[in-house]
Amino acid sequence: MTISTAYDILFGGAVVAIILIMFGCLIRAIRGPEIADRIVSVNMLGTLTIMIICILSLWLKQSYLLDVALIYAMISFLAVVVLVRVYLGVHREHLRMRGLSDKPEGILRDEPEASEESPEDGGAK
Amino acid sequence: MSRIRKDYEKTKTAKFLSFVRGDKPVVEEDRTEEWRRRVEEVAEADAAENASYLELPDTDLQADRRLTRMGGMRVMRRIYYALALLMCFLIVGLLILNIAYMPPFGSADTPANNEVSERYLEKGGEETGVVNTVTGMILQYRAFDTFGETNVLFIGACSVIILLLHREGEKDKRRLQSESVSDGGDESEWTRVTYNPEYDRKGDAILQTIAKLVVPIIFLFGLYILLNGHLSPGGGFSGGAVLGAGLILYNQAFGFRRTERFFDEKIYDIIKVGSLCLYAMVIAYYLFTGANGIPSIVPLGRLGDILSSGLILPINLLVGLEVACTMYAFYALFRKGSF
Amino acid sequence: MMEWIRFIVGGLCILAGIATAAIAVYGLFKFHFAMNRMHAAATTDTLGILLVLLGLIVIRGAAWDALKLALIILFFWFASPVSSHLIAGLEVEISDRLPENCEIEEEERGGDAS
Repeated sequence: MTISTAYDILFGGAVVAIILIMFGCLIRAIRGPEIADRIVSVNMLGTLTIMIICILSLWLKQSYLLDVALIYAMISFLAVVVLVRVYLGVHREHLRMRGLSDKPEGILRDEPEASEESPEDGGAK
Repeated sequence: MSRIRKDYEKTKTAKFLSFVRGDKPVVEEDRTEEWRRRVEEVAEADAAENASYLELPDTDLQADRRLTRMGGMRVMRRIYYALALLMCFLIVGLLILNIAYMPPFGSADTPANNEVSERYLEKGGEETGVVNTVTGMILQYRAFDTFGETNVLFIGACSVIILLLHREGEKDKRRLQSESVSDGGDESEWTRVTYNPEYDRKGDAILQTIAKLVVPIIFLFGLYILLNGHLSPGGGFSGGAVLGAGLILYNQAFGFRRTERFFDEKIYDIIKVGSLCLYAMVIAYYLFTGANGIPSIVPLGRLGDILSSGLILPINLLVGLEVACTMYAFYALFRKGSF
Repeated sequence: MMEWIRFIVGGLCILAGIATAAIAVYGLFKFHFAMNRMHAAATTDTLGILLVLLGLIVIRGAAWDALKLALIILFFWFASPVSSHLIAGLEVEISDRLPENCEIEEEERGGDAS
């Protein structure tokens, strides 16, 4: 067995295995009962896609695919950031429309542009 | 940390020491229960409101609703899901069937392998001076087509601005309205889309620290893709998308007020209209020299250099700026309502 | 001979990375709460991608491509913890099932912002 066929078997097997793992992720992304589940699955799908692109770039000997992988990494990070913050904004707006705006915030305590005191601090101390 | 302190406070030594010190026992308010109760109250109020709709004294409507309650709606929904799934599988099957009729990858007798692509591949390098033939094709031979695509981006951003347009002075009114709501004022004014200060927030410290590290890298990478468009895959559209992504990430981390220090509406207008006008001037020059831009006064340079291939490099830059502006404009318009 | 050693080392690294990803997917289905699932899935973002790309670097040898692969690993190690932090924050804020599934300490949630 020559080295090139060995590489073909290795890379091909790796790509097929990653695709099988991706199907698992996809099922979780569809079924996931909460938003966080879906975002986690989509993030992991992005990571696996980057793995496949890197393997393909060595397999096909096309080094420009690594640029594509880098862009993909940046965009998937941006996607997670934007999704999380948009959902958070929607949730807070929903709470405020229901008149529950002074509910204590979670661990993502973003500073509002106009500095307003968190009502929770005043209550506890 | 706090768990250790709590455990410590439960021990007898701690109680004794606090008794000696004369501390009063701290009574912690349990606020989670209160929150849960209030959320439940709101949910109950909603349910009562819905129930009042259901109990209208209308016999036909009542019969309909009884049917709904008996499960007619549920059955319909199930049928709908099944049909949607069937539709999905049908479309996927059709697409896969289509692939089966395609010629094999790389085969010589595909319909795409005609004299046009032959011509591009043979003469593209020496006529346009690009290494990446695709860029030479879309920005030199078919520059007019790409100009149309850039116009589409411009018109898209313009139409979104027109749709979200508001009269002068209305902006201040919106701000006032949202402030009055945030002070716990009248909630009945929440009927239309308002400027929402909730969305105008910065990220927290962790996101800001990482954004300081990552955003310059993203900008550099986007510029690399833009300037290398004629040598490697990439070019105006993808590089501009990366630049716009960097802008959006910066905005997410530091908020609109800080982004508008260097990228506000004025600069947006200048960049967008300026790049489109410059591009139009290049296209006009191409039209005068024979519509494909090959006889040009700009020297082509050596094959493979950064400063080669005539006007393709500046066109890439202009298209990239246009795309970046459009991406950021869509984001900002839909997020904030105005630019 | 040198090529075969490189192939075996790189292949083992890649297989270990894929095994990490497989374990992460198993974790996605085994755990019943989003925070635990997140913990499982985050191993792919750090360890899995490190092992796979390290194997590719070993196979590729000294070249510019290896530097780009290292840049991808570096980017992931910066970005992935931040995205995990954001998702966890979202889950803490909007989840209703939080008190049943993990122990919350109100003091910590309240923070010492003042």
